[in-house]
Amino acid sequence: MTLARLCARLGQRVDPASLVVFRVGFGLIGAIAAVRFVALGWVEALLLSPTVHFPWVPWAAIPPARVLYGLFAVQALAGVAIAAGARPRLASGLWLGSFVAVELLDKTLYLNHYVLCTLLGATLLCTPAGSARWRGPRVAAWVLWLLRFEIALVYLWAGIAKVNSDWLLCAEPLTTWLQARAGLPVLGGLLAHDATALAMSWGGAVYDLTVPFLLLWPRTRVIGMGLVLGFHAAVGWLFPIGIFPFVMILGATLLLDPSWPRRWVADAPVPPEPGAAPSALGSATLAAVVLVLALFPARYLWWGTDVAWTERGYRFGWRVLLNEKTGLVEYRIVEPATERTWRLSPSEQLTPLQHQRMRTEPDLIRDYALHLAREHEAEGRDVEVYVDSWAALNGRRSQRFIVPDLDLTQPMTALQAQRWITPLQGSCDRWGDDRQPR
Amino acid sequence: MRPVCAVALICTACNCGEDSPLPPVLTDLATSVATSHYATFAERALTMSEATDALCADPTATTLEAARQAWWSTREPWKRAELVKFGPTEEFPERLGPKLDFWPVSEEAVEELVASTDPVAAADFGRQGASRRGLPVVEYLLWSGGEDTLAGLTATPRRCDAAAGAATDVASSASTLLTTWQTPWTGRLTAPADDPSDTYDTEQDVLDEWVNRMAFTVENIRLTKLGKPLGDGTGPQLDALESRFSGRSLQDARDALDGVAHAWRGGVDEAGNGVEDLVTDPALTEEVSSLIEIASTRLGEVPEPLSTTLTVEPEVVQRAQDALRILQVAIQVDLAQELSVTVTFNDNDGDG
Repeated sequence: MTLARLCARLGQRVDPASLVVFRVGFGLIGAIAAVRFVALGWVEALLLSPTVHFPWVPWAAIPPARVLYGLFAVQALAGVAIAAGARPRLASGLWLGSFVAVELLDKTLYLNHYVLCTLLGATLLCTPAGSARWRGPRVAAWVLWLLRFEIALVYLWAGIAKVNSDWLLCAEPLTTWLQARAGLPVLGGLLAHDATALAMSWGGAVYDLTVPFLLLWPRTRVIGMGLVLGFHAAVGWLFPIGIFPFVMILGATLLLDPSWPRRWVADAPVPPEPGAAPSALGSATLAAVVLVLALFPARYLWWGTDVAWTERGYRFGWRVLLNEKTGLVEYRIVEPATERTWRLSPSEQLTPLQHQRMRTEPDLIRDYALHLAREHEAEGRDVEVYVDSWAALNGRRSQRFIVPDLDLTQPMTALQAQRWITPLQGSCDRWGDDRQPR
Repeated sequence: MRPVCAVALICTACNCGEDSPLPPVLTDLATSVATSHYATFAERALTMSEATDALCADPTATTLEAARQAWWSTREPWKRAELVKFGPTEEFPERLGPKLDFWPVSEEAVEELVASTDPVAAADFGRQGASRRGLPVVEYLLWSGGEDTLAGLTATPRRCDAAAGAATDVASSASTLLTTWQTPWTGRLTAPADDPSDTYDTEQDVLDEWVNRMAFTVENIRLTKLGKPLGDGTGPQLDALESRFSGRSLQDARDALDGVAHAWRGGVDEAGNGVEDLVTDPALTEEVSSLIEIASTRLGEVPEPLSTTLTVEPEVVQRAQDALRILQVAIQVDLAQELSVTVTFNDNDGDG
């Protein structure tokens, strides 16, 4: 396809029906997710109760309870407004602002589908997608294709991330996770079988790598949508991943024919018609956005580290449900002037969720070291902070995680220069005999 | 082929109906380990109550020694059950843990109580705060006077009455602990799906609890029972010693580690099913067993009393801590992963 034809194709005006369904679904999911977060007591448990936080930016301090609850109320109301199509720009802006404001408060809240929701919300805000109306004018095709691209990228990068020996040869982490479901009635024994994990691993990888194309090609759309429904229903049943299946099922509908919803209400499809191609500036902006979105998840290749182990480049990379990682972290705080040493387990200060996340994520381990240093500094002590940490990944035996004799209060560039994360050793073969000596 | 038939066929081929090893392990953990310890605890607490009554009726060196022995003996099953930090020890309405073993004891609060005119019968202790009741209070009253303890108990009968009241209160709580553990907690922990309280959703959730508590207990021995008294390099912190008046600090730690070993092996006499019976990797089974032995040996090598060793030979204590840390890594990381305990999902929906 030539550039001119591509521009013409992107400039086409297409039926807004699928975008309307997406907008309504997105708004409702956003509203329900906000209400659910509050109803489950997570505002208190995850945001207000912790005495320590891992903010993405230093100024993102936890606001008072009334402000926090207010943010969730805004999220819920804005979600309803998005669904209703009322003041779409304002609604999208309020939803996005309140959603991101909460996400910035603590890195341990990070979830891939929150990032996807942020991206989709930003697209609703910045493009005409949020204003799509059932009986309204056709929408520029590039708007639909941008959303399709965002959804497809999740699948494709998730699929690419599964092409590794842990996933394909050792069926990890699914073997570990499905073992935990062995007690389920009827299917428990089947789920716990090694062959099931292997079949699901390969099936999952093939699914991720192919389903966007199955959905886009008219002849395979029914099969593709059947797979989407089956896959996300199964994942949602097996694992507590909240709204993720709903977001992905909704997103998948964007890859169908833009008129697909009209068939369900016996409405005549609206055929595409030619339209003006995006302006030069618009095209350049769109190309830049697409390029960043496509390549950002690949940044770990530049660093050349094992992303599953070091987690450098893990976030914002659509590496979904890939790791079973656990660990143990303990800090040694040393005051060189007096040689006093304090030992501290982070479980004393952190909530179970924070502790669970930080003990396997190096940047959080360092963030907490910096927090400890600040605490001592406030009491007039100049300290160095070291960590004794072990972790195990996908069936491997535990090994040292962070180099124990490095002061973690050093700048990150200095730590990286000193290779502060020990290299991953051993294979994922949980039954093998290449275990590392302790 | 109908889907049901297909599932049935697949299940037959994959041996879906194979008996899971988990239910018998959970049953034995609840009974051979926890109930067994709690039953012994209740029995010995009653003996301790009788011994303190006898002491107050006839305060002599012999009856004092008998009361002290009874306290020491009561402490053993209680500390062995330390890893059972769930159920009625932690959950309301009982929440018996703090009532039985609030540590460190508030000396000031106990002395205030003795000096006051407040009644000190067992029922009265039931209305006291955690810092004025439980095993540490009995210990304080039976030991804190050192060589003058007997004289103190004789000169101030109210002091002895307080010891007897606190001991009877402990016996009462121990009895409640046992009965509450038997019903409803044993049911909750062996057949969670049938439990209307939904404390645990699945048997795997119950296993998670046990394995996590094994790791936590080892950490607690290492960091709290040994680490805190060891101090921060400026000298030992003897105030942080558990059971410091009776000098049972080390034995408390050893008993707590024994409790972990019992959960691993399936009871005191190792006749039941323990967590080790769930491990399919023989190398890991051997490793954890061996590390428990090593940690136990290192702990055994620490000379009594701990208060002196902390000052004279801190390196021996540190060696025990090192062994415990290696054991903790094996349980918390390797064993947990092997048993799928560390499923990386949490309440806040996980997809990362």
